[in-house]
Amino acid sequence: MICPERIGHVVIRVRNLERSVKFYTDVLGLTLMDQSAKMRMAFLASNARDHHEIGLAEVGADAAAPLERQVGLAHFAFRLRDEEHLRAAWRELREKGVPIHFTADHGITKSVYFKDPDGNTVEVYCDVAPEHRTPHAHNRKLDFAADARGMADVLRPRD
Amino acid sequence: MIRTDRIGHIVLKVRNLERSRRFYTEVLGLDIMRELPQLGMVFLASNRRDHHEIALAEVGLHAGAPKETDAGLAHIAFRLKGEDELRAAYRELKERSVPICFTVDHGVTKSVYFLDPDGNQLEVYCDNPPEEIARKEDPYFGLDKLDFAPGEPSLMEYFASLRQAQTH
Repeated sequence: MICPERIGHVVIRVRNLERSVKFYTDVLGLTLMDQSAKMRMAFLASNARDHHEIGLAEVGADAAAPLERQVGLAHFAFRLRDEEHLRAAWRELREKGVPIHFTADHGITKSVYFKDPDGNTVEVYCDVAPEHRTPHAHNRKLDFAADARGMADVLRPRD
Repeated sequence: MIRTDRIGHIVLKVRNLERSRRFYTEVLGLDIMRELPQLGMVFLASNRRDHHEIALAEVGLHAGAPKETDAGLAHIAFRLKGEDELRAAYRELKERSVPICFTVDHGVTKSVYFLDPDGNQLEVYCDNPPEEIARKEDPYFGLDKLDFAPGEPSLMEYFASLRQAQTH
């Protein structure tokens, strides 16, 4: 058995490298660790903590989007320190006009899901301590996001 | 600006939940943190460090796969403690006949790339020591393959074979 220490990073293919670098640095606040104009790649991390937590590889403006019912990525998530940071993130996303997908109180986390410039779903979340969990949260939308969609509005039941 | 603490998890869509559950627990050695059979989902993590680092969501046996030229996921990487663990991981993958894509010394990391049962590309890597990274000319873009896996393709050979497959 391999037994990794932890998850390290995710690499995604994007249509426009500069546009995605701008999004992941300006909106998500990641630090640009390295990039290559020749290789059309960029590497970013939170708090410059690792050589990268996300890699961006440009595949061109005509690249198709993956389909909902294909295998592969559903979403990837970044942890925030606490609910204050989540509320601030929510306000920031709204101010910058980033499309919000939905919000959910998962019990163990409170989560805001949104779209990156290529339509990839990104989540920011804060962990909720056991004593602060809402009983029977049932993935209800977050109280500060009353006008956004909830999980039931976007996820279809299984076939 | 949002202040992220760190990357937390990735959710992957798979064709067969049971098959993927076995792969991620038996080959990769992740722990099952939670199962939600009514949603067709399993949550897994390394060392029980988080509520999940990977979640698997079943989308059915007939689900297609995105192409190498599509936008979206390229790969997901797991950090190993050191080069000994990376060598052991490589042996484990070979013994279990997991398809290896390529190996590479990127500069910042030594990495082995392979495929999960649905063809999702995964990487296991160890960080190179800082003094070794300091000697590299271009530490994010090294292309040499790993000395303990001479029979595997290099990064360039792998991508050339993909391009060739696309034109045929």
